Parts: sequence; C-alpha cells; structure tokens
Amino acid sequence: MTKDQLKSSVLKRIKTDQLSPKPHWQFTLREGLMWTLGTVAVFIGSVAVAVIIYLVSSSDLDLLLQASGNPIADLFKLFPYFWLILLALFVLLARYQVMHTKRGYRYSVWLVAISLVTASIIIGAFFSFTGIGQQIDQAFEQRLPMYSDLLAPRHDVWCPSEGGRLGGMVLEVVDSEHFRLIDINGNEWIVDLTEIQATTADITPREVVRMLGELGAEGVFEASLIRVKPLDTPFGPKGRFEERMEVGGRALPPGARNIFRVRITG
Amino acid sequence: MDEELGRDYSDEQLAEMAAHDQRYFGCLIERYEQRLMRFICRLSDVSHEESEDILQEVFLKAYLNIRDFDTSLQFSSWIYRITRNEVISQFRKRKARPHGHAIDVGDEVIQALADTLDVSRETENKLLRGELIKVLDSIDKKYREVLVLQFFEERTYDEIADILRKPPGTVASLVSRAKKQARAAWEEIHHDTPL
Repeated sequence: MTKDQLKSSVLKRIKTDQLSPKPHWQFTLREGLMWTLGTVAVFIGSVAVAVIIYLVSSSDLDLLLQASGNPIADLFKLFPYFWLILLALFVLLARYQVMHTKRGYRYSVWLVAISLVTASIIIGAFFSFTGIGQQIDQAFEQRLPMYSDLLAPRHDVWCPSEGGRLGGMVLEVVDSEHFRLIDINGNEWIVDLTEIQATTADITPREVVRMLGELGAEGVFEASLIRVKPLDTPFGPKGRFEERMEVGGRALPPGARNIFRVRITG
Repeated sequence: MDEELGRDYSDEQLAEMAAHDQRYFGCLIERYEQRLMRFICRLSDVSHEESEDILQEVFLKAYLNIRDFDTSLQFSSWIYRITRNEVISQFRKRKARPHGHAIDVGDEVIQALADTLDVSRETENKLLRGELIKVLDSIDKKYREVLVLQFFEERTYDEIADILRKPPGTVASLVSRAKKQARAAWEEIHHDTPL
C-alpha cells in the first residue's frame, strides 16, 4: 500500500461506515466519573479514619496499660482491623481512579497514595470532631451482627480477668461506696469503692464504667480506679447483652432513672 | 493537496480541526503514516500487511477519539500511545510475544545505543546491528519498548511517560533497568567477550 493508498483507505472507511468523532461530552463524562468515584472513595476512607479515631480515643488505652495482665494482647484485640482494611481498600480505589484520569498517570503511585491517605486523615479528623465516627460505629454495631462479632474483642477486654479490670453498666447505686453492675457477659457484680483512689465521678444507673481493681469475695470487685464513660458509650455488641438479659430473666430496674446520684470522692 | 492544506498548522492544531473536517485528519495521516509504520515494525514481528491493518485501525481509533486529545500534550505522544495499545491488543489476540524484526535505523542510532549500553565498540556496524536486534528481542517487552522509544523513535522521557501513561520517574527507572538487562543479554550472547 502506498502512502496515499493508506490515507485514502482510512478516509474511505470513515465515509462508508459514516464514522464521526465521539462527542466531547462522552470524554468529559468519563473524566468526571473518575473524579467523582475517587472523591467518594476518599470520603469513605475519611469516615473510616473518623471511626478509627473514635475507637482509639474511646478505648481507654491508658487504663489498660496500667492494668496487670498482657497489655500487648489487649492492644491486638483493640486494633481497628476492619476500619484500617476499609481505609486501605478505599485509598487503593481512589488511587486507581486518580491514576485513570487524563493526567493522573504523571504522578508517582506513592505520591498519589500518600496524598490520598493524608487527605483521608485530615478530613477524617474533621469528621471525628463532628461525632460521625461514633455514630457510624454505633450504627454498624446495632445493625450488623457480623460487625459486632468482628469487634467483640474490644468489649471482652473489659471482662473480669486476671488483669484486674472490669467494665459494665451500672444497675443500681446501693450507697456512696457500692453499686451493682452488670458486665458484658450478663454477670452481676457488687463494686466496692472503699479503696478507690483520688477520683471524682458521678455514678448513675445505665452509665457505662470501666475500672481497675481486684476481685474480692465472690461477685465483688474492689475498684481502685474508675472511669465513667459518656452516656452514649456502647455497652457491648448489640444482641449479646440484651439476649443474655432476656435469657436470665433480668431487666434494668424500672425506676433506674430515679435512683439518686452519688458523688464518689477518693 | 492535503500536504498543502495542513502545511501551516501544527499537529495539535490539525487535531483540533480534524474533529470538524476530515481533510485535516488526512494531513495527520500523511505526517504520521511512515513513522508509525516503522514504530509498529520495531515493536512487533507482524508482516507488512498486518502492520498496515494495525495502522489503519490506529488511525480510525484516533479519528473516533480525536475529541479526547488533550491539546496540552503533544499529538505525537497521543498517537504513539494509541499505536502502542493497538500493537499490544493485536498481540493479546494472537497470544504471542512481540518481537521486533525491523530495526531500520541509521548507523548513528545503532552506535548511540551501543555506546549507551557500553557494549563492544570494536564490532563492525553491520554485526553490531544484528547483535543488538538479538539483544532487544531477548529482553522483556516493557524494556524493549522503552529502548525503542528512546533510541529509535527519539522520544524524551516526558514523551515516553505520556505514551506509556507512566510517571516520568518510573520511565527513568524503566530505561535504566532496560539498559541493565540489555547489557546482561549482550554478555550472555558474548559470554567469552569481555566488555
């Protein structure tokens, strides 16, 4: 085929097949779609960061590290694997989208990945201020049984163990030095506060508390440190606690809200 | 006639006008036909007829997607990218490994490649050419194509980056590794000949 023959052949085929250039909007749409998907992926990654920040900040690591036992094993239990994997997946997805934009390929893979992680962290930190992290975590916990099972270890960390720690929900304040508590496994405890260290805390029924101390007589926990969690702190994986309460035929005291509040001052 | 028509315009201007007038696309075909035909042959071992079919497909794809051409890029990079993708796509269809068979370049290009690879300068040009073809055929496809683009097509790193859709830094590493592998392949061929 000579020089002119190829040109003629191409132009002839364009004419006979009535080919015409694809409209510009198709390419703009594709480009827009790439950026939109990339932005959505960064947004989801940021939500994951917000939940990670919430999980870490609400895990009372300082208390755990003071407890006897194996804090490293506890750290592994508290590690937010699910959200970190989700963050990694969406950063990868966003990176793919960015690299497939018109000029995205010019940037180094690592530069794009690091920029996306940084953006997710900054936006995620902002989200965590607005409480989105906690809301998402609780929504997942209430609606996804799988999520609860996956994250169950973070609640187990506060089960009574040789580590000398106990977490649970206050059932009833008995007097200024004792209250009744139910742990995540549905076991009832009397918490003795006589040995409490300098701590000021308002204890009211339905509040979630986490404590360090020692096991005393059967069913008694002698607390040395107590931390009262905010009222909206999840007590444990949804279902697990409530089911046990039902199976055990127990329920929160009906007048729980009216029980007087005590101030415990060490 | 089309040569006259497009004479005063750059490739990029012609590409913009080609979206509205096929005659300007004809000018682009004239400008790139020979270069792209050589490029296809350097990347692959297809017959001349097959190269023409590939080239025809390249121009048709370029025409259909001409509005996707980013005028901030060089048109040559864009059409080279389409050509490379079409060659790869043909090889996927044939499930074959690309081998070049036509290194139709001047002696100075061959010598430049030999100098860059730091391989035997004493070898006669004709022999050198044949051996370099063997070397290029024996290295990985991704390395072969960057060497072809750099030495035979005389593309800069930025242009190669636009053709391969890779960051310029990655292209620089690819070129460096390509040279290393080519030197190793040369040594393999001349294992008795010290460099």
